Amino acid sequence: MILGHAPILIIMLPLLAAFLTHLTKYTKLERGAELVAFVGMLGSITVLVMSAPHILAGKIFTYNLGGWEAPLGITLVLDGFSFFFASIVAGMGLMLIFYSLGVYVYARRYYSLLLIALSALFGIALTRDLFNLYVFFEILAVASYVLIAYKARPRTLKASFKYLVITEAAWVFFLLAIAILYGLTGSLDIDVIASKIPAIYASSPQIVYIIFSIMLVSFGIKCGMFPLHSWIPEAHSQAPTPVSGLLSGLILKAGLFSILKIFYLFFGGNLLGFGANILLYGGLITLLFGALMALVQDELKKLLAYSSINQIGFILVAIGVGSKIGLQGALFHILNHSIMKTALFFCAGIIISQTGFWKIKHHQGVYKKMPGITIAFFLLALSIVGIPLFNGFASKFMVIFATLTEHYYMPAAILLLGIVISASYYFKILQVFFNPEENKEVHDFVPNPVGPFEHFTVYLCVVACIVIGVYPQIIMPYLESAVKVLIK
Amino acid sequence: MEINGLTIGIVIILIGGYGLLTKRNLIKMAMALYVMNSGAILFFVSIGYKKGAQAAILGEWVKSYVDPLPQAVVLTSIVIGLGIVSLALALAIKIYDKYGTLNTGELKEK
Repeated sequence: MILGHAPILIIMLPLLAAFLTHLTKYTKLERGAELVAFVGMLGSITVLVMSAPHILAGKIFTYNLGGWEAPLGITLVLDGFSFFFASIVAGMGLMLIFYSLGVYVYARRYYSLLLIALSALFGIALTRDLFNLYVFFEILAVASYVLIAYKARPRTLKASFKYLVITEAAWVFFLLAIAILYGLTGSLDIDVIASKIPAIYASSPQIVYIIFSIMLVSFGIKCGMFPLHSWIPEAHSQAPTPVSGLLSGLILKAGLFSILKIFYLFFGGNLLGFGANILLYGGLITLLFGALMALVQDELKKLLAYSSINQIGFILVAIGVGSKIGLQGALFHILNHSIMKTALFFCAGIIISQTGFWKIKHHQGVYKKMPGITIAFFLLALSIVGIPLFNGFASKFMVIFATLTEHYYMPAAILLLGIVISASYYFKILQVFFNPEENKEVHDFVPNPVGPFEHFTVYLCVVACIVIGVYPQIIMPYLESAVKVLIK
Repeated sequence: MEINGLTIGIVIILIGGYGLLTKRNLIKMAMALYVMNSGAILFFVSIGYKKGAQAAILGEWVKSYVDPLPQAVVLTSIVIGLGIVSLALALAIKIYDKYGTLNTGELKEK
């Protein structure tokens, strides 16, 4: 039965395709690398779709690599929780490849790196081994450093180096935390360690606090929690457009997903009071900081990057609240933000590649030149602000409802304030876009041709936003099966 | 405090961290990262260490043996560290090509 091997197949198919993209050099296919990348992603998606009914029925696929059982070997688990994140990676990965298809400058190396990054993201979703998690994060990191610096412009190189130094310093400490845990428990398996943590906590709580803090910092850097966000604005705004989508849509979410994983599977209920407050108030500060910084940006892509920090704060608050509906809201907003922000970056990329201007004020009257993309941007902005009938409303409503039912009235008020601020900076952009006067400033710039693939991807994301917003019920069973794994 | 692999590993990590925070040269920063990584590797390998024990090749003559898993695991992280540092140095070369300097303070907007 092929589904017995589902967890490993999901990871290996894109990785195999990443290798094969280089071999297309020796074939006569004109766009062989793109074809291989597309087929590789489709393979993972097929396996995920085939396993979906079993996951909803409550089945858990466990795969021991090399036949070694849990305390010694590496275990991959496809349950409701990891299935949810793997599906986001699969769907958005396909969108990223679609978008890249239309842009002719991307060569084999680009698709190869993109597939390696996606395969590492699948690995992060599925693995239940701490060291394996570290390895997948490093694979993802290496691929993303090179992807950010892909165009080798001065500012991209600088952004990539900054990202490298900040992240690698954090992973050294993560390795230290893994070593301490291995010394205490004699295993690297998350489930085995989780069963032994209560005894360690009873004898020396300080060690558990130290491990928790180190891990929170490592994943906080990945997801852009204040004050560890400093790499985000530069890397997001300097990377090529699809890579900005990858960073904001999936890599930040990998950090959040791992926080959920360690916080609930690993530390169980032990640290709930201590850790939940850090996440809740850290999330609120992140939210306000991102919102206020976005308000003063004058570059389009940088504004979107700070808006990502704002939304990440929203999700962190939801994780900190930690009730059943709060976690469902967190996971739902991870999905929604992934779709919305990736599509917004695509829109920004198309607009910038047509006009050649990075600043918002130069995009006056873009509406007349590109009506389709501008209206898509408008709908996505409405969605991310949280206007009813869009998916952003559904998840934000769930999060605020959860904060109120858990009697966090002040945080709920700050969440609403964050929404108001985000509305003001998105409407600031829209005001410029729909300005009847066109930008008179000219500079020598040759616009890149924008093909149907780019437009198609953006419109598909907009349709997904509206469909999920009108019928959130189609996502609910998946959310419930995901949260069932976290709260027993 | 006893001086063993664990404490020395922590000290090496701190030396690397000091270098990362105070040095402004990109190549020195890459070196500092590698020093930090080495400290973590020494720490990890020392967790499996046992005094007077042999390598984990089992036989009648082996009375006590060291834990082989940290050694296997650390091998992977040595390779990762090497990859990261070589990537950092490659980026440093490219940055030098574009800006003409390796000093982070002089990398003005371009």
